Amino acid sequence: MKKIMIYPYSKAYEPYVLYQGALKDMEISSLVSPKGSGLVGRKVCYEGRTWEISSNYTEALNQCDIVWFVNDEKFRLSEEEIKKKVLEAVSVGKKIIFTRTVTADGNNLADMIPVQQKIKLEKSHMMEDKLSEHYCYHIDTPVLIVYGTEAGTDKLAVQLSLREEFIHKGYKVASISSRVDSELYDMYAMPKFMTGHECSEAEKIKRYNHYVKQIELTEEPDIILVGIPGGTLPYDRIDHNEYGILAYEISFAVPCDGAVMCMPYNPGFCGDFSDFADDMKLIFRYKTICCHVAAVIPDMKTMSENRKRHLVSLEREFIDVKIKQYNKENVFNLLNKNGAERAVELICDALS
Amino acid sequence: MNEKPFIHLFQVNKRSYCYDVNKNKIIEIPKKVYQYLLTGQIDDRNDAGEIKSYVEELKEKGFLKSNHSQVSEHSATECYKYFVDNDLGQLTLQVTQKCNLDCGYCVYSGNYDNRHHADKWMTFEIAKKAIDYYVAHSSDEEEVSLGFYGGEPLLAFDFIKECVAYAEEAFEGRKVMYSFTTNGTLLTDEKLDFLVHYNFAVLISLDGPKDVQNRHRKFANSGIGSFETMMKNIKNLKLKYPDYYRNHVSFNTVLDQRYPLADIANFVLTNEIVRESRFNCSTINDTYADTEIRSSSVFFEEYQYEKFKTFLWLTGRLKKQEISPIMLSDFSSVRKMAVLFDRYNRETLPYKGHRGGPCIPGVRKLFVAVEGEFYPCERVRENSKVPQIGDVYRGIDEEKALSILNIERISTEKCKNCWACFFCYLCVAQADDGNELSECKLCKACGECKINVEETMKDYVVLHELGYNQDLDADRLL
Repeated sequence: MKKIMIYPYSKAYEPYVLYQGALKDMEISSLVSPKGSGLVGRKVCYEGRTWEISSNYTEALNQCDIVWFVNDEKFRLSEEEIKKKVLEAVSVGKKIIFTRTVTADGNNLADMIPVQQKIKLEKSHMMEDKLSEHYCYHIDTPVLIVYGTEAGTDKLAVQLSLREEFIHKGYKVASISSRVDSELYDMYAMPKFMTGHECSEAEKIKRYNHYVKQIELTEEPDIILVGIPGGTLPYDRIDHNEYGILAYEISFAVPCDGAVMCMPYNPGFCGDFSDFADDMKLIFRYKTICCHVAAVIPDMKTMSENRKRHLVSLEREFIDVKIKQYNKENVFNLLNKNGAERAVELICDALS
Repeated sequence: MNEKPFIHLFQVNKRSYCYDVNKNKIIEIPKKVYQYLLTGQIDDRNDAGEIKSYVEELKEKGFLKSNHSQVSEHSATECYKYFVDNDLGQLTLQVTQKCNLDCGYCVYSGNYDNRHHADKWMTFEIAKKAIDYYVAHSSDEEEVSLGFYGGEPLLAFDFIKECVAYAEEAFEGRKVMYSFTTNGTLLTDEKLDFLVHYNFAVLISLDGPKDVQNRHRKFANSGIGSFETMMKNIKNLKLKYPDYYRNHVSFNTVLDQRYPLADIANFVLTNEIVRESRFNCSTINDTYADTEIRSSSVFFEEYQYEKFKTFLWLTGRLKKQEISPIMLSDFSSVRKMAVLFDRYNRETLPYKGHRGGPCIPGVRKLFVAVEGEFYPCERVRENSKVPQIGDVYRGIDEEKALSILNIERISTEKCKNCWACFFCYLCVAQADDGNELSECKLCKACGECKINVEETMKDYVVLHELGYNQDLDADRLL
């Protein structure tokens, strides 16, 4: 079993720790975060296992086989700092997975990694631009969309959780992540052309459809899980969630047989998500089957300061208590095994 | 009408308005409807049909509901622990209580029920603990902001350097924004180089021309006014680092409402060194003052005149160069209200609610006094235990902080029936009587608060009548 260190670790990478059962012959062994992240010393716990976040890169390097360099998220690490860390890993012969975004000046630190040490992730790329029609193909496999009312609401973790449960029930699942760095987990990544400027918006819709169709043809799955990046509807003039453009385009590219909504905790929420679900049906034709409440709450102070709002972390146990209080059959904490089991039953009923 | 709508009616420039508390919206209404909503009477029977149908139409649109929040609870209450653990936005260190000036209106001057200037200094151990606390409690914040406060913080310049060196290391991987407030008399070249290197945001206290500045802002050891020293330093700063000056330096002006304003407004507008700078201004704070400070009629008239000119500028009728920068911060309350109208759209008040006023203590910002005590900000009194919400050794005292957060609970009935609840700005600072959160003390400030909220609403509607659009502020200020 090869041991992986994630650097620089942030909360955005927690889903990869929690659902590492999807890794083949690998496990996440250490999480290293910059000292100033506020995460050092905190623990990530899941089903009896615990990972403590450290700031000691060199020590973790000695104990791992593979270093996975991920995006900064909330950090501002200099390229120089990352370069030093990459070279340190290279010098001691570690294998490297490099999924950091290429810098604005086009400088790709991945180029410094010797070929024999680089683990390439090309699963998704192999599915791009294989089909040739100028229109969208029918997708015959049921498609389950996982969308969020805003970014940071556990979409990736929900996809991983649902996939695990579907597989447990004997289904064959193909997953297209809402992120670009999910391939290690046997998921297809969000194709880069969807966020780039190399083709027109209409072309993106067609290419995304072809991408999904090719996955369907190759994998022959029983169900396809599609994660929608970011949020879906503008919250207000300031928090516009990119106006849900990607959700809109994907809604044309692939039919939605059912959808799972991910939302932050809101003190005013009583378990009825039908208003938002109705909007989603009207605008994107998404039929929302159930809802996941993420362990985050909007930070109110940003609202009155006219800034973009951000989410503050809660504990999952807090959400579990709330889910019980809502007492609804279609509102879950899907990161909870029991929640995922019941949600998959509900989804199977809805799709059958 | 069966149930009294939860609204506030006001008139300005012969036009009538209704602020609907449930919807958080202001609408203009016909004068006849205004009279009817105000008195419940219809003067002319011939108008009855028209008025009643207008009111019915408003109700159909969701206005004129009589709902009030039933339970007094701040929305951050149940998740307060998590906000404290992950979302601290700003830390301010009181590096010393000593000041080289002795300003009569300063809240630490001895003329207020507050601590006095003292020869007390923060130790590096306490600063380290405070910074470590900040690192550990801000993991959800993208940027961190470390401020230095006094007394006069530059008296502890070497200490600030130590703190910055420590923060740079402790916040590895995150950008730290530094700031401090200073009287500007100690800004030497060595200090400037350091401040520029770390991009400090500097707020300098400047009250106006020489006679105004020297009226209050005198050196403690000699009694001589500070104007010439500080202006020399500001001139040097501007010459040496013009870009830094433009982007990182602003001024704080305390207006003594007993004296005329025109000279100050004119000085700020025309002085070669400070014109085109950013100014925050406020009148002398009398929250804990031994004696009440009353505005002179000259000040009031000149203030209203400057405000009028600012409105003309905001609506494109005057050029920016014709407006004194000191009035721009006065306008911030209108701007803030506009944001709240824009972003808080609702159909009805929530079942659980809390008036405006209190920040989330220990979350939006945290003020650490020289001996390591935690306060919600630097504006509360430090000679009282009431606003103290913990210290660097024990962290946040959650019970204490929650009582400050839910300060409405000392005046629930009044607050939940108050039309101005959403825009109320009263917090622990106005309710602290030295022993407890006092309803009696709070209520003394309540009347003035409501008047100010109504005045701001009037400014807001007048500006909008004149075609003001707050979205263009950023462009306008350029």
